[in-house]
Amino acid sequence: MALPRDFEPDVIVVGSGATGAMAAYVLTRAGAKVLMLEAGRNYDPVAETPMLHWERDAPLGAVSTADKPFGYYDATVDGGWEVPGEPYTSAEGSKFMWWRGRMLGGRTNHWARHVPRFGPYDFKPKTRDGLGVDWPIGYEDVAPYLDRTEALIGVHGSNEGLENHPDSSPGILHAPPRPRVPELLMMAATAKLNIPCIPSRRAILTHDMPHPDAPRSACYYASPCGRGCSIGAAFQTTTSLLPMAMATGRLRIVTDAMVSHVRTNAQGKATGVEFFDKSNNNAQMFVGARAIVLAASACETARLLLNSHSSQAPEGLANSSGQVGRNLTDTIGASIVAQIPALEGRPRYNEDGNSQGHMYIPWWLYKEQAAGELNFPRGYHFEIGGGFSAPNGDFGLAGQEDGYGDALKEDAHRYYGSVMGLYLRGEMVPNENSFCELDPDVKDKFGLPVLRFHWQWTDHELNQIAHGLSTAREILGAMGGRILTPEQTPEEAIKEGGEIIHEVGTTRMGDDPTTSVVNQYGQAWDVENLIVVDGGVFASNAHKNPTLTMMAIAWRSSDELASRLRRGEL
Amino acid sequence: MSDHLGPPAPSPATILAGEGAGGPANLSRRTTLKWVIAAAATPLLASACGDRSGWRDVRLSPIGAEGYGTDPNLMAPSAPWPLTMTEAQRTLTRTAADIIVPGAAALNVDAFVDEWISAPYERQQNDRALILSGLAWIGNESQSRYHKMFMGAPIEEQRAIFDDIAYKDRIKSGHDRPAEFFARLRALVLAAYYTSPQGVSELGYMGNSPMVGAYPGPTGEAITHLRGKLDELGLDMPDLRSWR
Repeated sequence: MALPRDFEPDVIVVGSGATGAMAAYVLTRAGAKVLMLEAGRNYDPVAETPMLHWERDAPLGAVSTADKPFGYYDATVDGGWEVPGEPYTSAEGSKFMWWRGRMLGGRTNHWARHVPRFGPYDFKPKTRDGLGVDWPIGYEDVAPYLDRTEALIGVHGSNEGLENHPDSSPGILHAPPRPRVPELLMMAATAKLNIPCIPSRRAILTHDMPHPDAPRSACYYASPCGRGCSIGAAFQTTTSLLPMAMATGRLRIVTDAMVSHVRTNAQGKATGVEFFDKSNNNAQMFVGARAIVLAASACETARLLLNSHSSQAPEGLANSSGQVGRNLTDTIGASIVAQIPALEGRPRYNEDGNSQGHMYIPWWLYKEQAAGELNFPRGYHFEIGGGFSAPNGDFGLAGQEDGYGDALKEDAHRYYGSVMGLYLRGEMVPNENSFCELDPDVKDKFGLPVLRFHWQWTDHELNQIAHGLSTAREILGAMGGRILTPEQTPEEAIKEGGEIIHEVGTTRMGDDPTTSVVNQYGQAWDVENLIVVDGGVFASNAHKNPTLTMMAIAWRSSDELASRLRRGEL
Repeated sequence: MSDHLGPPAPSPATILAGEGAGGPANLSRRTTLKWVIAAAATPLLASACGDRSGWRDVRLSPIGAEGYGTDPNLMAPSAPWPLTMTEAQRTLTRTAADIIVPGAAALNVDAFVDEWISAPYERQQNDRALILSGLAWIGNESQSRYHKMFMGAPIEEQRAIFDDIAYKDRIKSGHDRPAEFFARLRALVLAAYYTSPQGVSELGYMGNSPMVGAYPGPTGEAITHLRGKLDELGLDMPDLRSWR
């Protein structure tokens, strides 16, 4: 898409996902003119979302393939674990998986919308256990923005008053949907074990949110969120923040624009960005602005900075600390699946709900951890799966398939909806062996050096997995479950780095320019008009899914940028 | 990038493998018997150590078609790759499927199996080798036991072949590969059957149906059933007052 004529932007925003759209929303409302560059194609969720299509109508019953790893109907465009022509590599002995999309709205079009709140402990982890670093800000700095973000994007959930799981201000949360039978069984089992099981917080509306520019409807309890949501019930930037920002008249979006370099002048200020116009034979373009906001995703932003090296910044732009690409973390993942005899042959009803877990198990052992009773420093939560879901090409009988004929059909009826899973999502401590850097040899289709990932778990993660696996077995055991997942060591059970798709930390914020890349407002220490708003700025990665906090911080950073622009500082 | 080869022509090896393996379905019994005897006389060709089933891995040219890519049309889905099963393989699949899940033949489940094993993805290509070898095995097994094509054998004889390989706890000695094939075919037939409108209805899946208002949660009947199960497990019904 060509650059708009007669439009001189104040700010260029690179990326249109959760944080790029937030920056555009905040900045345009503050009066700034914003040009957004998105590497992927334009995407219209109203026209392109297969809301009620059946699995049988898709190739292979809609199952996962290399082209569509989350299944045919997943909203992701031109992405997944591989992006055609845009590889990445892993160093010897390392494995890292990097999920990318190339579409307007980025990964917000397909995510699970699970948005638990970071709490006070989550911003001061070093103070609590001596590991990693503290954030330069505390919960109290972010809390107002968490309220505002929840109100803006629409979040259902409940206030439970649990330790380090802060309540939202009154009147913000949408009512959570009722638990379904497998979740009720889970609640009963966890209650017996004194483990909490509470309503999930999801960025899914349970009442309408009228708006002149971006009206969104309440969830109608059909259509898996991963397909995207043409009625706007499940939050994605393409049905909310982007149309709202467009309505100000101060946003222009250019898609198919792969940003390759941030250009700087002799004074070390950013002057603009170079990009490849994919809609015009990858023609190399330049566009300037007073400030540059990077929201390309943690690793893509780090890559862009490293590729923007110059004689003034030979190790990469904004990298005088040497921290760009370092401190990379993902959420720790593991899962245990069981067949539950108590759920066999149960009465049928519409169990779709919001297509996500209505309930989850938040971390509950803060006191034991503080008292040194656990052999791992950070927490985890369990997400809960199971229910009468739409059969697809991987339809199975909970591992009970046997024989053939009428008896097999009876078994299908009996075992349908009788499997449950517990999915551990845990906090990883940053370590010096987990980072990304430019690969010295491999280049992408634009001729740009690609990222090479280094990855290593430590005992902090493996001990946590061991605890989680044994707890999950206990919970499923209390439900009378037959565990289907084979006995695994923590090393076998832990998912690959990157696989949970919560990668953050590669341009972390801090108080000290020698150990951090940006300040508390995402401003690069080395480049005063370069602001990072994506997950790269996270100084730690609580087990709580990061997008809500990312958006709240992006709002705070964008407010600060708007003030500086208004004051004429840039 | 893969090339644009069409579906592979049946190789001599697949024809040798007999009924349902890519060759014409109407081979004379005498010809087929001759092959079976020839195969039996060359045990070194047997595919797996310890195999006593007469299993042979059919040799296949790789599928050359493209997948649907990373940006397929989600609103009008289609599989771009050509189907590759022969009419004989389709017929045999339909016959076997109807024994595995009664009623499956009427639902065109062989089309699903054909689309699946013709897809140019690794998992589906592994299944292709297994399924086509297995179909050939069924044909050969029927010939060597009954001197008949499987499709023309009475149901008792068809079932007798399946009974050797269909039940986890009593797989006939040396029949691991045919049993593996059967389990995979069964999974594909189950998927094809239960994704169909009739299968969805029989299973009792009631979703994919938009609702107005708050999600109602389980029915009274479902709650009563759960209550009974919780009693058996010694668990208490959760307090649901906060949802009222």
